[in-house]
Amino acid sequence: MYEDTDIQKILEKRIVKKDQGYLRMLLGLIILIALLIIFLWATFSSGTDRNKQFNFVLSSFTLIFIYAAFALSLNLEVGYVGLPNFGKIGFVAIGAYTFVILETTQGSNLFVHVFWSVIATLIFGVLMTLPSLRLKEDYFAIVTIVAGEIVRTIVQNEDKFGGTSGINYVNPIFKKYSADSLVKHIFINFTSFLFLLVIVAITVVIAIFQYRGYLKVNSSKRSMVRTLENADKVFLFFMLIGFIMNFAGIMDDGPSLGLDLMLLLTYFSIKIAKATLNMIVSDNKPTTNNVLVGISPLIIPIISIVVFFLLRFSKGDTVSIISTPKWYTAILSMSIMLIAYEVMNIMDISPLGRTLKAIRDDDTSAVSVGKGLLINRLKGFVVASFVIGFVAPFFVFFNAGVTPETYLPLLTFILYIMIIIGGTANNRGVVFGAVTIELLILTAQRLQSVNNAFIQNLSYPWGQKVDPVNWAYIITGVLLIVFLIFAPEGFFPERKYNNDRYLDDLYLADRDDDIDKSKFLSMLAKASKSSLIYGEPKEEIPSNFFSNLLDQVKNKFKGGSENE
Amino acid sequence: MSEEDKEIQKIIDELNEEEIKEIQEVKTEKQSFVTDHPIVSLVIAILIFIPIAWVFSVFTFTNLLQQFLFSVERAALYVMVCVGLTLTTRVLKFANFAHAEFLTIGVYTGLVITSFTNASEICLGDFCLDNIFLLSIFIFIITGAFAVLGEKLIFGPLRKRNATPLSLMVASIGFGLVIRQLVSDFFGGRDQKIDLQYPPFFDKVGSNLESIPVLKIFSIWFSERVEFSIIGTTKVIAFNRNMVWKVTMMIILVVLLQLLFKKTTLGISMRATADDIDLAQISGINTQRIIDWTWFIAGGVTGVGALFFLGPQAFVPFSGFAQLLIIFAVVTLGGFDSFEGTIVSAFIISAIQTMTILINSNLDPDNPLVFWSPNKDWSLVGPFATIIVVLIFRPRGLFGLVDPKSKL
Amino acid sequence: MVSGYGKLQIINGVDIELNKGELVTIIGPNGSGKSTLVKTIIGLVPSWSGKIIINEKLDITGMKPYDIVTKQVPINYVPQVNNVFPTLTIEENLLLGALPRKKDPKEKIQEDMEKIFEIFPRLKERLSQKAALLSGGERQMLALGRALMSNPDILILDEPTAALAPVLADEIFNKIIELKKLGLSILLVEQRATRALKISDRGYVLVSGKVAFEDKAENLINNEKVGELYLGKR
Repeated sequence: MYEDTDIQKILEKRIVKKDQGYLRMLLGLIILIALLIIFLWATFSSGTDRNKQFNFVLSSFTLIFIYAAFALSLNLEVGYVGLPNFGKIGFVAIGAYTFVILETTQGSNLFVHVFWSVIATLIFGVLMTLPSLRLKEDYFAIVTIVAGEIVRTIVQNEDKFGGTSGINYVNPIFKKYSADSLVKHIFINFTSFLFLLVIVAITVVIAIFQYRGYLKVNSSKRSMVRTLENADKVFLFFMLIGFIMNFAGIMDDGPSLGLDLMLLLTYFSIKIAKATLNMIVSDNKPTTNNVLVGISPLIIPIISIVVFFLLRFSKGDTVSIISTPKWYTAILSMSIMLIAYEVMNIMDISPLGRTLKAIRDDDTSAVSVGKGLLINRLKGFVVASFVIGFVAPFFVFFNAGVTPETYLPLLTFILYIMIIIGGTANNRGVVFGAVTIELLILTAQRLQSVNNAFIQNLSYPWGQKVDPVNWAYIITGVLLIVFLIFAPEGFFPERKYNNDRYLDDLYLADRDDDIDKSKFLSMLAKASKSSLIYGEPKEEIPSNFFSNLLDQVKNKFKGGSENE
Repeated sequence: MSEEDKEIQKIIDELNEEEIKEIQEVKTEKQSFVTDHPIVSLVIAILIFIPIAWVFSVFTFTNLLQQFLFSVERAALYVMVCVGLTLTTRVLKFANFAHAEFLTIGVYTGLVITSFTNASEICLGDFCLDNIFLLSIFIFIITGAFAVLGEKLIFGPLRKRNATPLSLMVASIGFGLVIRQLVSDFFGGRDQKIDLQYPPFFDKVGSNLESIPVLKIFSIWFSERVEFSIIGTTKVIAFNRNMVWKVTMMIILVVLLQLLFKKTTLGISMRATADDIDLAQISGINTQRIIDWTWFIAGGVTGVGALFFLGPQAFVPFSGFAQLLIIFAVVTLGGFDSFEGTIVSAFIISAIQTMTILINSNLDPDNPLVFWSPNKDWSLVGPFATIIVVLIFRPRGLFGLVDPKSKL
Repeated sequence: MVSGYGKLQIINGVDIELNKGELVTIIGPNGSGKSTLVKTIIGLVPSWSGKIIINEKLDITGMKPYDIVTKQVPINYVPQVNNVFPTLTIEENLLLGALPRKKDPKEKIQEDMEKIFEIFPRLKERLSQKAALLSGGERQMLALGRALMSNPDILILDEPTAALAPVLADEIFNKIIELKKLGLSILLVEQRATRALKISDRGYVLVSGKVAFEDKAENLINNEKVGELYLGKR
């Protein structure tokens, strides 16, 4: 029906374009892995205390996860809402200071005070949205950067907020474990194992019900993907509960490292399964790239887990050398980042996200079809501020308090660079950018104290020592400029859910009189539709090995639930 | 169209013409008074400042005069470091965040020339390389060259690719970051200082002038330290050669820039390019060359300003960046692309800062109405608040030509 | 000197000729590419293929506008909108117009300015006023004056009467006739087709980037098809 060679050629051209995009992502991943190797080398070759080295890795990852969450939130404002918020660090400061001041004056009440931190950030976010109606983008940027600086000036000068020295704060739940107390129980015990089984079972039951629902409108494979997509979110929720329960010692007499690791592995297994299935089901030519891209943001946790296991066996005893507070700050901030990531992904495909993109691209058109400018921008900023208000207390845990120097505008700039290098309005790219840039800076910090004569003696002719941290920032700045000039869309370009990219082809058809217009249009419509994950018609999927397999699985699930 | 219709149309047209003319004449009167004469606006700004300072101060005349002098000194410095940003914003239509780094480059160029070379021995008669006049020329050229380098490497290629003002701004942040970190890597984070050196014959002239009673007041330009006592009081006010030369350099700079803009082809071409880049090209202006010159002049002026602004105090590589938002406050209040507005708003911002310091230093911390800590440095809050208030309520500032709101 | 002569071919295939001392009008419906055509001639829009030749041998294809006007090519262009520098005074506007004539002495330029004041006496009254404060008609006059200051042989006018009252439009047309009498070759792009064709020698009708009709001006006015389509005659 669609064997017209002209159309085939055009569509082939489009596929080639796509592959080039994947090549860039692959390059990004290679750079990230190289950086990671340098980081680990620098960490483990500075000093001799294994314990310290490990704790540095943990706190580095904590910082990376927290910055990734900040960058995700900023990306919602910059990439989706289209308002360049250069005062992001002011939002963080508001959340952090609210939390710390309430904690130190009212007595510790974690959940209530996180709630107030969120509320304070939300109010600030709403206030900051209002000038956007009156100002052009770059003037809005100036207003926000100044607002952030005002917040910092106030907390720096006001004695009630701790002044220049800030406020020290350690949460009482962390006080339970001293800084050098270690996570015991490397191996998973019976209670923990039971708990793991229970939450897996709950996730599976929820998945089965969802799968049945999806089957009514979708093909079996499509339903499977959608089910898995929700399953990882469901499991993420239970995983977080598991971490907290484990930390509080509910499972056992102390935290069990084994349970945490098993939870992480289960979660990432679901992720990888989802990515693989997505690749098989989607219209794209199945390539290894697809899988690589699917698991790209997850490489760091996986590698860290592997490293921990290696360490465990190399030591040959049953006690880990991981500090409890550090380990839990790290995995809790990772969970928070993952939640933020999922929220942003939902935003990406939700009607609100699409409205925001429309307003960003052309506010006049969006307003003329009845999309309120202010209300939608407010919604976007509220979600972004919510994330910040939620993550800010974790930033406080990490810093063991608040100091005004933490909230310099430089941090906002770095977040912005992360977004641009990773890929504006692409959450996966933003996480990639955050990990890469922060890893670069942390690596440079480690290189300062690395046991290497060459690096230690590096200096300029006039006697000034070369500081790797400065060079990390210089590389970051150069990267930003290079990307702005040559690849403004970043390593991971924004995913298009609309028919924008087909417009080029349409123009081509318009100019070439030989192409049969009606045929061409119907072909394009089909092509554009099939690239939408949720839009593919049921009967179009050819049956093959995987679908048969899934049918079997489906039948088994059906049988099982009926028997019960 | 019938004859009658034509007649009616004619009458309507004539009516409109007359009305338009009336409106325009009123407009002309209003505009030509201040905006066409920056020196007048400078005087007005000073005149505005005096009564405000008077009302808010509960001090003696000497103290007020002292604060006034400090304020004028600071305003002069602000003018020198801010006009460059006004120039680039007006011609290139984006907010250049790397502007603060022109200060850093300027002041570190001065440091390299004065401390790293034996500049005091490279002399031409009485003029040695480290005196402020020759130093200024060198700093002007080197900082200007850096600005042009930025244009060639970053902003030019970006503009060729039709970048938005926002991405130009983000690029300028990156550019600034690179320069700042390079400087801090090359020179370390130590406190540095440049002593402003004057040609040796200044002291001679100064001591000669001091002996003549009438001309004694002029000796302040030449003599290293002259103390003035105000008639009727015994109090002494600090009023030294550095302060006088800062203000003098500012006036020289303003006059030179004014001549450049009004009289030379380059200046007129610059304004034309700022107005309409396509039309400027049709008129035979090599706009790329004009843009290069704009960067050179903006960078150079800022570098020289930085020598006076940051040099005499202790500075570190981040000192320039620390001044960025004050510079933005001045430029925002002035209207982003108005040269005259920048001069006036430099005085206003400086006055606001002086008043903040004055008021806070005279407040009783135990007073229940004073809910903040008055013993801390709040001088930045005034300029910051100015930016927000101006951008929200009057985005085109005092004398701005373009309304940022209308570009939405 | 051989008479001035221009030729242009843009992507849709347009051939246009302008002989010395001639007034040629290009008319056409909205979006037919009239403005794009003249912008291509002056170099504001890059030409994809084809050539723009002046004086039979001087090829200005692919040159940037400031190159075209400064390399002693006697051509100038008045855009449809934004044709004066609003923040510059009238005097500065006129002086900038003389920028391509770098070799001429200042006295000569002053003389020419006086000549322009003879044609447009209203400009002299407001010499030191900013151009932004001028009315629409005065603005067009200033734009014409600015273009004339470069002492061109060829003048390209892009809808000089757009958004002007009929009376003012008449005035502008009269000025254009005056200019033609001075010996200039004028390429006029106009919406007020009948009015423009009455004063011009030849005319082109442009439809979607192609020349639909090409004839003497009076023939075009009388051409029934053209009249029906673009001149509003029934």
